[in-house]
This record gives sequence, structure tokens and C-alpha cells, in this order.
Amino acid sequence: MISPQRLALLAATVIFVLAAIIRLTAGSAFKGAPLDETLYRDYAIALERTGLAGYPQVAQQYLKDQRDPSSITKLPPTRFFYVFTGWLTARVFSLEPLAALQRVSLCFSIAFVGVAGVAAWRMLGPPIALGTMALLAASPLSIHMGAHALIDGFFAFWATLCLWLLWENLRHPRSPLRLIALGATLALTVLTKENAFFVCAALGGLVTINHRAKFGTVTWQLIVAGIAGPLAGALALAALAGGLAELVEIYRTLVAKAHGLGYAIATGDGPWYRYLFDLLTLEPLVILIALTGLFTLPREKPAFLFLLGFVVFSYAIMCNVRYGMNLRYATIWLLPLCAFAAAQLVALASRAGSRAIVAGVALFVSAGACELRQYRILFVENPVYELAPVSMLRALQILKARP
Amino acid sequence: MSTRTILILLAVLIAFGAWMRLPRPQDRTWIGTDEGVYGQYVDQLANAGLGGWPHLFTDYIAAENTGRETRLPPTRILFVGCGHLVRTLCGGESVDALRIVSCASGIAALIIGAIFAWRMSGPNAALGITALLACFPLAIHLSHRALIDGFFALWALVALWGLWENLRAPERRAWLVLYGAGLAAMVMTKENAAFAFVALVAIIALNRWLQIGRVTLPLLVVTFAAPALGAAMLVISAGGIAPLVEAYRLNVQKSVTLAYAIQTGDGPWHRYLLDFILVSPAITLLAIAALGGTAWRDPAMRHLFAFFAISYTVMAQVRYGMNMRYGAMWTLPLCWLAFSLLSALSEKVTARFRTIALAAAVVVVCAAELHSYRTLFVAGNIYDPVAGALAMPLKMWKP
Repeated sequence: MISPQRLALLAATVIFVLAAIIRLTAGSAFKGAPLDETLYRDYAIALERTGLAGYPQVAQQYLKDQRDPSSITKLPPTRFFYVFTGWLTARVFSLEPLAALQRVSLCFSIAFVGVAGVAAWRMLGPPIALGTMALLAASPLSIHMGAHALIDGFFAFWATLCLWLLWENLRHPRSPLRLIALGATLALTVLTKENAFFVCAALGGLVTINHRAKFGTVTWQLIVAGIAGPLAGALALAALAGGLAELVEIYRTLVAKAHGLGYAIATGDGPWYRYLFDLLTLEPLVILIALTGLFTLPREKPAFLFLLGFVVFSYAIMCNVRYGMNLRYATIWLLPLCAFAAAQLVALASRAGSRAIVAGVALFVSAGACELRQYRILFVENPVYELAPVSMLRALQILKARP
Repeated sequence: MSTRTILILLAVLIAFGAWMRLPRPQDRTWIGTDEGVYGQYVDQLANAGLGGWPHLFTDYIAAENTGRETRLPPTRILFVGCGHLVRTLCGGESVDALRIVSCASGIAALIIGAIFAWRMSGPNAALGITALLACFPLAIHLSHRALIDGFFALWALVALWGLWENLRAPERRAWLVLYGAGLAAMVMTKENAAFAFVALVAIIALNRWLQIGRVTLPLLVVTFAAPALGAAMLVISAGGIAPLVEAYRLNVQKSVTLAYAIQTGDGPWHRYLLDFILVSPAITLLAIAALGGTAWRDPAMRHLFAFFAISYTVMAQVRYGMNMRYGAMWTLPLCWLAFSLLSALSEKVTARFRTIALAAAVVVVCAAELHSYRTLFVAGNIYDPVAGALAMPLKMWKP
């Protein structure tokens, strides 16, 4: 007789393998060469040419190019960790840089399911963790992030790891290993993308409300790790950029140019509920079910309040960035959203009494099938690449022509 | 709060809602396609009198058989008839008369919604729900235009209320009149009555599990007799069963090939939810969140949610036939659900500040809804709230 714990571990392994298979076999109707991916590739090629020590030259070249008012806005070389991982993969496996970056995105999209599953297991227990993994395995957003050389799935992995490690540190204070892991992960998140600011702000918000929410214990060591990690990341970025002044200028140029970028103005604008609308468009079932637990689940377990707090804090900042809203950035909310939906489905299945497991499996398989169907409609039957509302609404036949 | 205070506040809220629904001067500058068709029907009635109804049908059938495009059928007799009545009494243009009908039905729906909410959930809840109803953007918009959907929503609400009262107090036969009137009026108003009717019948069929109240034989008789009466009125207006059936057949047949319907009425099952989030984000999100709450113990929630869910399920299956205007009949269920959540959340506040906290939350939601109304229907000047039109003033689409 297999123990329930072992059975759950077996189920988690099966779901993880399924998630990998889904991502490895997921097709995409989009066959273009988008600018973002090309730029990441160029940075990886430049890194190969200059080596780590010469990376400041890449930053200088970027600044020189961006100072020209006629040049288009480009992604900054400060998204170093993604570029570095792509370069390393290319070297180790002898791949073309773009193919290597695609493999990195794919692998981290798969790993994301694993890390989110472990986090959910630790925070919410095996049944909800299995459900969360199942919903994540079929999440169109996560699959899409793994299908292209986009940074957001990679970033979501590190952001989710930060979120989980903060929880672990709050629950197990003064654990050196956990503190080091949190600090290191925060540093890598900062090295990955400037959106790390939203993540750090949200994590800071969670630490601030801890005395009322009682997630765990905030120690001075945690505060130090929480500040030292991002600081180390920022210092590493400054070194890679050739100095603090250069780093600041890169970000300043990026923000200034992004506000005048036609594409960002056209696709990144909208009201405060833009992310909710986009999420509901792409993943209707999971978001609907997750929303039903918004006010009840946080009363049941502090972990739900923790996850909700992360979404609320980061959402509040992210929806206020002018011309800077994009559903890709919402990949960092997939763990909280899927965990909420999974908890609701588990609660529903538990009403079936002795047949709860069968009911649960049926519910999650159905929800997963709905999610995969959404992926097929949007990304296989239609060449959706950029997750702007218009392209998604067109793929769903809601928008056909200007009325 | 005393009943007297609540009544005064209710009157203030209804007065505000009514003021919001009064015709706007800027709407007079432009007449929408559907408004124009309804106006033409009223014009034809003004020339031929009520005896001219059958001619509307023969003209419609002839035009549909020859023309490639389709237009709204003359089977929507109650709306056109009311427009004719107002024009006869007040004079003026037909479209203006129809807009008066829309405005009056919008205000009537607000008042009936307030009474229904009071009867279901008590005076305090009625206050909050009426505030949300008063600020509901879609309801305000439909009151300004000579569009049938606000008028239809009124009769669907009457029928829904009538069913509730009959299930809860089956011994009081007077409620059967209200219920029957709502059902008959629905049928005479618009073919969408089929969706509302299916939902109402399903509630009766599922009452054993929903446990809303008691189903009686008179209730069942009225459930089928009243729509039959409405259908009989349609037959008389059409001048026989054959022209009525032919008019419906042509309407259905041509609707699926209508370019505008194909362009704007398509989409997945969650299309209505997306549209409602664009127009009423706060109320819709709260209503969805309320489904995970504890209000299921309340039969009112089961009654309203069943109506919403069943009619939604049917309406989301109609190919090229999805438009959030048809969802106007869900206004009360959505507002009730949203308020139930706010009310439940306010329970966490200490008793001393509970009422203030709840009132503040309702005010914030109302402000968000009014802001949405202003963005979409005042600044955006939207006529038909389809996704493409809604996305532009919200800056989510910049063609």
C-alpha cells in the first residue's frame, strides 16, 4: 500500500512530466522574428565576442545608439542574467544564440511549474499543490512564454522563487541557508529585468504588513538579506554597465524613450483593470474560479493572504505604469492565481465525499482541457505573439473589424 | 436606521438615478440604425393607426424576401406600441417618443429593482443595491437611447420578481398577476424572451434543489398561459400565425448572415463577462468574487444566480448573437451579488463603524461605475457597447 504522501509525490511527478511534454510539443502559428528576441540574441552574440569583462562596451554601445533621437527604443543590456544564461546554453550545447535563448525560456517555463508546485506544497499542502501544478501545466500564458525567446517566463521563475523563499524565511526565521537563498534569488531577479522593482516592492509590502497579517517572523537578518540581495544585483549590473552613472542613464533613457514609443503607446495603455481583463481573456476559467476565492480563502490560511498580498501590491504599481501594461508581465501572478483556483476546485471536489479524488481529477482535467483549448485557439490556430488585448480579441473572434 | 430614513434615502437615490436616466441633449444629434428602424415603425403606426400592425408584418416580409440586408422585425410590438402611445399623447418625433419610453422604463426598472431588493433582502440592503443600480452604466445608457433592451430588461425583472414572490408566498394570488404581466410583456417585447423564459422555467424545475420556495399549480399555469397570451397578441398584431412565423423565420435566417452581427456578435463563452468587465468593472468583479462567499444560504442568491447562470448559458451559445445590451436583464442579479459581498466584508468591521464602512464601499463602487459611464458613454460617445467600441475610449485599442 502506497502512503498518501508518496502517492501525492508520484502525482506531482506525473503532472510535471505532462507539463514538460505540453511545452515541448506546443505549436505556435507565429513564425516571425520579433525585435525583442533579435535583441536578446544580439546581446548574447556580443557577450560571446566581448566576454564578461567587455560587457560594459555593450552597454556603452547601447547608450550611444539610444542617445540618437532618431533611433528606435531597444531593450537594455541590463537584462543580463537572461542573456548570460542564453549565452552559456549556446556555448555548452553548441547552439545558435537565438535557439539557445528559446531553450532557456522553454526550460524555465517547465521549471516554473516545478518551483511553483514545491512552493504551493510547502505553503498550502499536497492537494492544493497538485491542483496548482495541474492548472499551471496547462496555463496558456506559461506555455506561450516557453514557446519563444521571451524573458518574462524566465523572470517569473525567479520572482516566484523569491516569493516562496520569503515565505520560507518568515516561517523559519534565522535559517542561514534560506536567508542566503533569498538574497541570491533577489539578486538574480534584479539582474534579469527591471520589473524586479515591482517584485521587490510587493515583497517589501508583505514584510510591512506581516505584523498584522502574521505570516511569520520578520528578523533583522531577513531585512538585511532583503536589502543586500537586490543591492548586490544592482551593483553587479552597475559593474556590467561600466559604472553607476551608466546604469542610471540606461534606465533613464529606457523610461524616457518608452514613453514616446509608438508600439508601447498603442498596446500598453488602458484602465486599472486592464490586467484583469487580459487575464480573463486568456485564461477565463482559472481567473473566474480564482476570483471566487478572493475574499474567503485568505481568511482560511495566511498563505492565501500572503499570495493575495503579493498580487495586490505588485498589481497596484504595475497598473499605474503609463504605456507599460502587458499581459506578459502578469506571468509572475500565475502561482497565486492558480493556487486560488486550485483551492476552490479542491473544496468543490471535497463535497463528493468518498469520491473526492475522482471528482477532483475530473475537475482539474476539465479545467486543464479548457486552458489548453484556449492556447490552441490563440497561439496555434491564430498567430498571436504579443498579448495585446486587440490581438487576443481578434483570435477569439470578438473583434473582427472596426464597428 | 429607521424605516422613514431609509425611505427618504431611497427616494434620493432613485431621484439621482432617474436624473441620470433623463434624455441628454447630445443624443438628439445622432440617431442609431436600430433607433431609426423602431422610429419608422412608430411613424407607420402613426399613419395607419393600430389597425396597421399587420401591414408592418407584410411590408417586413416583402422587404426581407427581396433585400439582401435585414432589419429589426416588427414583432417587438410592446416597445413600438408604447412609442406610438407616447407620440400620440405628447407629439414630436417618433425616435424622441421611443427615447421617452426607454427613459421611463429605465426609471421604472430602478424603482422595481429597489422594491424587489427590499422584499428579498430587507431595507438596508435595498439602499445599497439601489445605489448600485442607479449608477449602473449600461442601464443609464440604455435609458438614453431608443433601444429596446432596457425596456425588455424591465419586463424580465418584473417576471423575475413575480416568480420570487410566488415561490416565497404561494398563497397570495395577487403576485400571479405581476408574474403573468411580466411574462406576457416579455414575449410582446422581444424574441430574447425565450432566454429569460428558459431561465425562469429552469428555476421552477430546479426549485426542489434550489429550495427557493413552493411551486404551485397556479404558478405553473401562469408560467405557460401568460407567454401564450403574449404570443396570441403577437399573432393578432401580425394578422395570423403564418405571417408571425414567417417574420421570425426570416429574422433568424438573415441574422446569421448580417455583416454587423458577424462582426460584433461573435466570440467565446466568456464574451459577456469580458464586455461587462469593460463597462462595469467594479460591480462585475465583486459579483464574481461574491460567488465564493457564504451568501448561498440566502435563497435570494440562489434565485438570482440561477436566473443569471441559466440565461447566460443559453445566450452564450447564440452564434453571432452576443451583445452586452441583451445582458441588461442581469443588472439586478449583478448588483445584488456585488452588494452581498460588500455587506459580508463589512461584517469584519467593528459594529460601530460597520454601516459607515459599508456605505463608503458602496460610494466608491458607485463612483467607479459613474467614471466608467463617463469614459465610455459621455466622452467615448458609444452607441452600441460592443467590444471594439468599448476598447477604444478605454485606450486598450488605438487603431
